[in-house]
Order: sequence, then C-alpha cells, then structure tokens
Amino acid sequence: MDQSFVMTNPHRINHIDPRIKLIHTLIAGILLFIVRSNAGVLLNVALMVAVLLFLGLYGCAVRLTIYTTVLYGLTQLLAFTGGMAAFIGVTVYIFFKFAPVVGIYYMMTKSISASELVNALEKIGLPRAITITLAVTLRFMPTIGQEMSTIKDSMKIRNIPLNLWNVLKAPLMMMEFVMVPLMMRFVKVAEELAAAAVVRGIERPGRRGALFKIKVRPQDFIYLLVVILYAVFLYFFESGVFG
Amino acid sequence: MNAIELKNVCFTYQGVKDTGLKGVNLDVKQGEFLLLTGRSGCGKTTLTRLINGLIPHFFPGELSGTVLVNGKDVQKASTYELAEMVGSVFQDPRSQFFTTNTISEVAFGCENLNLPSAQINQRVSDAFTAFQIEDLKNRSIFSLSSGEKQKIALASTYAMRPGIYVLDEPSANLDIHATKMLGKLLKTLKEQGATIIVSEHRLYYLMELADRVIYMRDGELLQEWMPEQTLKLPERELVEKGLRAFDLDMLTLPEHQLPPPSAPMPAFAVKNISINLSGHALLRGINFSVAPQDGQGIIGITGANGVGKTTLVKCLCGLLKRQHGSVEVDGHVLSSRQRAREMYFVMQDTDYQLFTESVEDELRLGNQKVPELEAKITDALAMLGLSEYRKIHPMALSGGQKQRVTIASAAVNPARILFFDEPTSGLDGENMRSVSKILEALNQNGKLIFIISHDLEFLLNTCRRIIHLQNGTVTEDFLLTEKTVDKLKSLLFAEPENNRQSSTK
Repeated sequence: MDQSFVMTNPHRINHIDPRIKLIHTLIAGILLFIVRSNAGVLLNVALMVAVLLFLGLYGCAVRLTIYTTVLYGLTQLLAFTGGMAAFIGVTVYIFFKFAPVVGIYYMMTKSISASELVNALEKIGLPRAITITLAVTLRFMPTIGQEMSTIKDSMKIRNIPLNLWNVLKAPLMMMEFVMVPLMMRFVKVAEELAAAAVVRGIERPGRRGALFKIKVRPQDFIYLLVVILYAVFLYFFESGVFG
Repeated sequence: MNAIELKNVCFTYQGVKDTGLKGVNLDVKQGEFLLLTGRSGCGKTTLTRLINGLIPHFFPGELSGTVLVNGKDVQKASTYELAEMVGSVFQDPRSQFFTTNTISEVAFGCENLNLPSAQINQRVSDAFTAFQIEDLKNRSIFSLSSGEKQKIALASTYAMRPGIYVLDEPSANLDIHATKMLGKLLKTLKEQGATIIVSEHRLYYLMELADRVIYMRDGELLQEWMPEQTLKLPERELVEKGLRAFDLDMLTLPEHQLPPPSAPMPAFAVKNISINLSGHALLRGINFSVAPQDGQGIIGITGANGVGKTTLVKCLCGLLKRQHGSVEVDGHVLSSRQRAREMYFVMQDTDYQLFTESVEDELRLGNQKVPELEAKITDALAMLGLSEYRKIHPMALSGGQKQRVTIASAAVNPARILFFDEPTSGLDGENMRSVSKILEALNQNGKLIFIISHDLEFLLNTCRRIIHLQNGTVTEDFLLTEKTVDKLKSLLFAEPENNRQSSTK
C-alpha cells in the first residue's frame, strides 16, 4: 500500500516527534535570555539553519540566513555611524536578537501538520476541547488574510475605501465597517465548522486514533541531545569559558 | 428494514415562529437514492439535519414524532453513533475542513472513531482510489478548487464507511463540469449500495441516479415523482413551483423579446488588457467592445474556474491596478480611479457586502453625493420587493433578500456599468428567475450589465451575448440566438483545460 504521505510521513529519518519540537521551542525561549553576545546569537541562528536544512525546509533556511545577515550588517553599520542612527539601531538590534525565534516559527508552522499537533498535545494530556479549538484556529488563520482582502475590495466598491485618510477621519466607523462583515463571517464559519465536526464524530469520548502512530524513536533522542548539548555549549560560551 | 423512517415528524427551530417541518412521513429503503427539492426555506435542509442528527443535537428546537436511522431513534442516539451510520456533505466547501492537508482531512473522521492506525491508512488510501482522485493526495486544502474540495469532503465521509449519505446542496458552489464529476462520485456510491439523500436546486445531474424525487413546500412533502415523470413536467409548472430545469438539453431561449433600453447606454471598450498575477501571465490581450446602438444590455462572461474571470472584472472596475491595456467609456480612456467611480461590482458572497444596521442605511452608504438619493432608494426598494424591509437589519433577512439588497445598492449607485459575480449560485428556480427580471429592469434604466456565470439556465434567460475566456484570452464572443444555444452548452460542459495556477507549492 502506498504510504508516501510526504509532509507528515513519520517513517522518514528527518521526521521528529512534535513533542520533541515543543521541548526545543522551550529551550530556544530560555536561550533568548542567556545568549547576549552577537557571536552567541549568530551561533544560535546557525543551529536553527542546520535544523531547518535537516527538516528539508530549504527555503526557510535561506530566508532565515538572509534575515540574520541583513540585520547583523545593519546593527554594525548603524552602531558605526552613531548619533540618531544608533537610536534606530536599538530597534534593529532587538529584531536581530530574535532571529532564532524566526527559525523556531518556521519549524513549528512548516514541519508539523495540524492533525499531528493535536494528537501530540493530546498525548501530553491536554483536553480535547483545547486541542480541537487549537487545530481549527490554526486552520482558520490563513483564511483571515483572504477574508480581509475581500472586505477591503468590497469597501472600495461601496465608496468607503479603507485608506489612511478615512481611518484618520472616522476611525470608529472604519473599524465598524471592517469588523461587521468579518464577525459575520467568523460566526457563520464557526457554526458550519462545528456542525461538520459533529457529523464526523468529534464528540466521541475517549482516545482519538491517529493516521500515524506517534512514537518517540532513536532519531528523536539524538535530535534532543544535540539541541541540549548545543544549549549547554552556548551557556558556557556566554559565560566566557572559551576565552 | 428501511434505512430511514420518519413518522409524523414536526420540528420548529428554537426562537423561530414558523414551523420547519409539519407532519412529515417518509420511508427510505436501503440503497435508495432520494432527491429532495423545493424553494429555499421549504424545509429540505431541515429534513437532512434530522437524518444526520444535527437536529436535535446541534440545532435545538421543538421536535415531535420519531426519526429512525437503521432502526435507531435519532433523539436517543449520540452524535458519534450517528456519525458512523450517516455521512454528511454540506453546501459551502470552504467551511467543512479541519486540517490543511487532503490526507489528514480524509483521515479526520476515522481518527475520531479511534480506529487503529493501519486501518485508518487503509481506509484513507481506499477513499482516494474509489473516487479516482489520487491526484488530490497530499495537497494543501488551500490549493484546491471548489469542485476538488467537495470531492475531498465526500471522500472524508466515505472513509468513515457510513451506509447512508446526506448531501445538502452540494453543487451550490460548483461549475457545470465539477457538478458532473460530483454526479459521477455519487454514482460510485450508489453502485456500492449506499442509501443517498440529496437536497438540491440543481436537478439535472441527478436524473440518472435518483429513484424518487420529492417536492417539498412549507415544511411538507407535497409531491413525489419518478425521474421520468419530472422530465415531462411542463415549463409552466416548473416556474409555478419555483424549480430549476430537470433537463438542460431541453432549455431554449425565452420567447419574449426585450424592448430597447429607455435610457442611453454607455459605449464600452476593453483594449488589449493583460494581467500578471504573481509572475504568471493570467490574462493576455483581452479585447471586446459594446456600442450603445448594439442593444446588448446584458452580457455573460463564461469560462472554467480559475481562468481569470473574476480577476478580469476586478481589473476592469479598478480594484486591481496592475495591468496593461486600457478601458474606455464613451470614447475616453479611464484611469483605475475613474473606473472605480463609473463601474460597480456585486460580489458573489453577500456576507462581505453588508455593513450597516438597516436596509435603507445600506443603500445610503457611500452614495451621499447622489442627487435625489431618497427617491432613488425608494424606487430601488420597490423594484426589488424590499419596501417592507426598509428599516430591518440586513442580517435578519433571508439569503435571497440579502442578495437583493446588494443588487439594490448597485441600482442606487450612479455607476452606469455593473458587474455581477455568480449572482445565482445556490438560488432556487424562483429566485434565479427573479434575479434575471431585476437585471433586465436595471438594464432598461440604462445600465450596461456584465455577468460572470456558469449557470446555463440563467445565462439563457438573461444574456444576449456571451464572451468566453479560455487559456487566458477571449476565445469566443457571440450573440446568443437560437443557433448559438448549442455552442454555449458545449462551452459550459467542456472539460476544463488544466489552467490551474501552480497546484502544488
């Protein structure tokens, strides 16, 4: 039987259990506070690039590299010019420091399917009410952009375009014109989605099955070990053990 | 044993005065294919909800009588027990998906049933094979067309192996070709012995499959036909019952001829329009023109899904700025800002087009500078049969009424050129014919009208000229006469070329 379900196929060597990725996210969060030096941030990003490459997210790895390089270049340049530029430099520097988080974002959103995340969270022990809500929210997020652009078109046709001038002139009214159709859509979609879930047996109590069994495998441990060892290395790097 | 038995069922939705169903008795045999039809609001959706248990478990209300599914009382059964017996597909393909990937979507129901992984894999794989939709495997839900989404929705219920399928207006958002494909999948199900109940306005694609056709009115089962009998119903009766045609082959042009419009029409010309969307040439070299003396007030724009009809219209009325070529009205080239003023676009979905708290405010919105605005509003409301709803909140109206409000705001707007995107998707025969009349009236008042549509019945009723898009350009542009009716039919039924833009990432 054909089981080549590329994106979520756990039989591939580079498939990492979503729970391990959650732990990685936690570690990355702690590292944000520990890593202070520019060199440390760069090293931290290097690991994220390696992780993205390992997961097969080549485009994301390239984007992260460009993001970091550009911001790093800017901080150096702005610090060099001094004065007012240094003030802007602080903002740029903050964005630069958060570069590893961008990598985590790519990893969590591009390498885990909604279904997989729900099952993983359920294994951790979160109740169905939370996991399903989360899954539906994740599914709904990308459509908000589409809904917004349709509403903007519609406002333009009706001669109430959503532009800076109108927003400054009548902010409350413009907000109403955006929110009324958006809320109507949310209510409608929420009801229809809920009905569709009910007729597909979502209310069944007890355990939920999974298209793929979630199992922690050797590569998951290796992945976690690498992440932890690297974090320890960064800790010592920051405390100046290496010089 | 009957698959479904309804005995003297009455139902009233909570908070609604009118009774949804009045004393309905119905037996459906195992393996039977039942087609429910009737005007919007006749109770056919309510009937489907009783069978899949959404009533009373999801939509509360007052229910009396008994509903048995495979001998089980729906009121006493739990929703997940019913989910194993009855599979459901709904009208709007956009709001019945939980995941972003076709495979996990098809697996979703089986996962809820807590089947072992190996079995889920087997069933998912079987579902894609049974419907011959392997090409849709492992695709992002967002890259699918409406027709493909409905196929996945059906596959995901199929994977749960219910014996009964309930479909509520599944073709409402599909073009003719996708509707035909849907019919094919239903045929597969029927051959496997499934019991199928479809509530529909579009009837023609189910004529070979249905065992019985039931006509509902005001919550009652009024009449029952064999499919052969429906084909013999005279047109007068279809109109009176608010039904659409049972057989598209029989459709012809209406006999009445429209008088030329009383107000002067604008001259309109599109010259060499090309549009690139995300680096891909969607439309190139679009040319057509309408002269006032032609007397062609209502023009249909046709073409397969994804060919760029909506994009073209958005560009023509100035919503989309990046394009080459020009648009002329009465001999003047207009900038996109001027176009936004001269033209008006009524979108498909009414949800996005209602902003205010009453119908009359809705018509005032953005029209403050129109001379004699109040008189125009009164006229438009009268023309569209909305006078009594003047002070009502638009959200309290029915779907058909909401749509008429959006058309009324086009009538009040000073724009002389109007564009409509699929104005009849999901409408019953009665509402479809009334939209057709309304557009004729607007045209009489001097508005040039373009309609994007793949609704053959509506196009024949309304348009006098067809502009057909294919492969990013105008391939056919002809007057609709007795001789060209067949040409239009073959264009609409043709298998779409693969002009889907980048189906995979």
